[in-house]
Amino acid sequence: MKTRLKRYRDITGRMDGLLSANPIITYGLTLPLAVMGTVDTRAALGLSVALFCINPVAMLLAYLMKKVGLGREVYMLIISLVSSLMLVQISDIIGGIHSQIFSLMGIYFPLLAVNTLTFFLITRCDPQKSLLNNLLRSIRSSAGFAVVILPVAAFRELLGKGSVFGYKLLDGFTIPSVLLPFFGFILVGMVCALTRFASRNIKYQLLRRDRRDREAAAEEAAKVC
Amino acid sequence: MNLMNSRPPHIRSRESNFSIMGDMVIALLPLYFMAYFFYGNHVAVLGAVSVIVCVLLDVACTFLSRRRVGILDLSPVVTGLLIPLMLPASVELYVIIVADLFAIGVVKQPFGGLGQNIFNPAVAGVAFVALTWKTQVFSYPVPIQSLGAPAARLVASPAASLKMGATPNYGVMDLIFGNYPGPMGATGILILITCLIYLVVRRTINGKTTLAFMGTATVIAFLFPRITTGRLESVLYELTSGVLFFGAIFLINEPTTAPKAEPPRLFYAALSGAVVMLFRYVGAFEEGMFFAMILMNAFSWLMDMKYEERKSRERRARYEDTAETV
Repeated sequence: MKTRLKRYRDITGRMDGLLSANPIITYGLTLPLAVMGTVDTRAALGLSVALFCINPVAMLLAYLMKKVGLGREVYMLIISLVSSLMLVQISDIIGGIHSQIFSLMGIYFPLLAVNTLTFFLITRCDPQKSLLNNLLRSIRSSAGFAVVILPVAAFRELLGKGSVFGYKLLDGFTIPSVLLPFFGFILVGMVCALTRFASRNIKYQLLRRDRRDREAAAEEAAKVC
Repeated sequence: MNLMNSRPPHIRSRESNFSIMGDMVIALLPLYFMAYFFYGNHVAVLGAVSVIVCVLLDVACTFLSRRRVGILDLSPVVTGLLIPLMLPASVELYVIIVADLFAIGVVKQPFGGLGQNIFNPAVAGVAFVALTWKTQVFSYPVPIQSLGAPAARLVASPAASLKMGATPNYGVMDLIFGNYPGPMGATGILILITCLIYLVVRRTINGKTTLAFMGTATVIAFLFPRITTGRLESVLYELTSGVLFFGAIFLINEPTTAPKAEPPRLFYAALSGAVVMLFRYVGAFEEGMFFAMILMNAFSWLMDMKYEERKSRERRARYEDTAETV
C-alpha cells in the first residue's frame, strides 16, 4: 500500500517543473527576469507568454539535434538564434499585452533569447525519452515560471503603484520602494523560503500520519494475534 | 541517573539577552522623555505602536517557525523603540508600522530570529522607509518647549544644511540639549552621552567601539570640512547632526551584526565611521548612517573570519616553534 508521503511525492513528481523542481524556487533560474519583470503584472504576463512560446520550440529543436548527434556548442547556438527570431515574431503579441513592456523591460526582454531556463531545459532534454515527455516538461517549467512571477508581480504592482493589471485598487497608499530591484530580490527570496518551509511542513505532517497509521496497524495486528 | 538542569558552572557572568536588552531599553527610555518634551504626545503613540507591532510580529513569526517563543529576550522591544527614534516626530503612523514589518518580517525572522540576522533590523527598517517616503523621513518638525503641544512647521535638519555646504545656524547649547530639528531621539547630545556612560558602566556596550567610530568621523570632518566657517565647527555640526551620535551608541555596538572579537570590532567601527562620512559627503541622502550600516553589516562576518584565520596561523606558528625548541 502506498503511504501518504509516497502519494504526495508521486503527485509533485508528475508536476516536475511546476510544483517540484520549479525553475525559480528550486534552481534559481531566470532571476533577473523574475526581479525586473515583476514590477508590473502585465509585463510578467508578457514574459511568461514569451517563455511559453520559446521553450517548447527550443525543446523540439534540442530533441531533434540531440537525436542527430549534434554537439552542445552547435545546438546552443542554433537555439539562441531561433529564440531571437521567435522573439521578433512574437513581439506584436507581447506588445498587445502591455504596450510599454519594451521600454519597461529594457535589456531584459531581448535577454529572453538567451535565458537560463531555456538553456537549462535544452541541456536536460533527454533523447531517450519521448518527444511528448520532453515537450511537456518544457511547458510545465514555463508554467512554473509564470506561477511564481505572476503573484510576485501582482504584489509588487499593488503595493508600488496601487494597481493590478493596470486596474487601480489602492488609492492614496503606495510603497514606491517595493518597485526597486532590491525589494524584488528580497521578495523572490522570501517566496523561495516560504515555499521550502511549506513543503517541508507538508512532508513532516504526512510522515507523522503515516507513522501513526503504521503503529495503529501494528497494534491491531498484535490484538488479532 | 538524575540529570540536573543548571547553568554551566564555569560561566560566572550574569549577562543574558534579557539583561543586555533590558539595559538598552533603560537607555532608550530617556530619549523618549526628551522627544516627548520637544514634540508632544505623538511621540508616545509612535513608540508604543512600534513596540506592539514588533513584539506581535516577532511572536507570530517565532510561533509559525516552531521555535521557542522567548518574549523575555526583549529584542523586539529594543527594535520597536529604536525605529521611531531615528525618524522625525512628525512621521505618520503607517511609516513606523511599515518599518517595523520590514525590520522583523523581512530582516530578522526569515534569517532565523534573534542572533541570526545579518543586518540590523531597525536600521534596515528605517532605510526602507527612507527610500520609500523620502520627503516625510527627511523633514523635521521644529522642537517646541511646551509639553504636549503639536509640532506643525517642518524644516530641513542641520545635516541637510551641511549637505548643501551651508553652516547650520544653531548655538552650542541648542546642539547639546537637542533643541534643533532632527530625528526625534538623536538630537539630545547630553542625554545620549548619559546613555553612553550608563551602557559602558553596565558593560552592555564597549566604549572603545564608540570611540573608534566617532574618532574616524571626527578626523574626516576635521580634514575635509563641508562648510567654510572652520574645521572645528565642521566637526561640531557633523557629529551632532543626523543620527551619527545615536548610531555610535546604539547601532555600532549591536551584538549580532558587529564582529564578535574586539580587534575586528574596532576595525569595523573605524571603517563604519569612514563609510558613514563617505555616504554623507557623496551619497544621495543627507543621512548616510542607515545605508552605511547595512553595507558594513554585510562585511562583519568576513572581518571575524579573517581575524580567526590570523589567530589560528599565529597559534600554529607558536606551536611549531615550541615543538622545534623541544
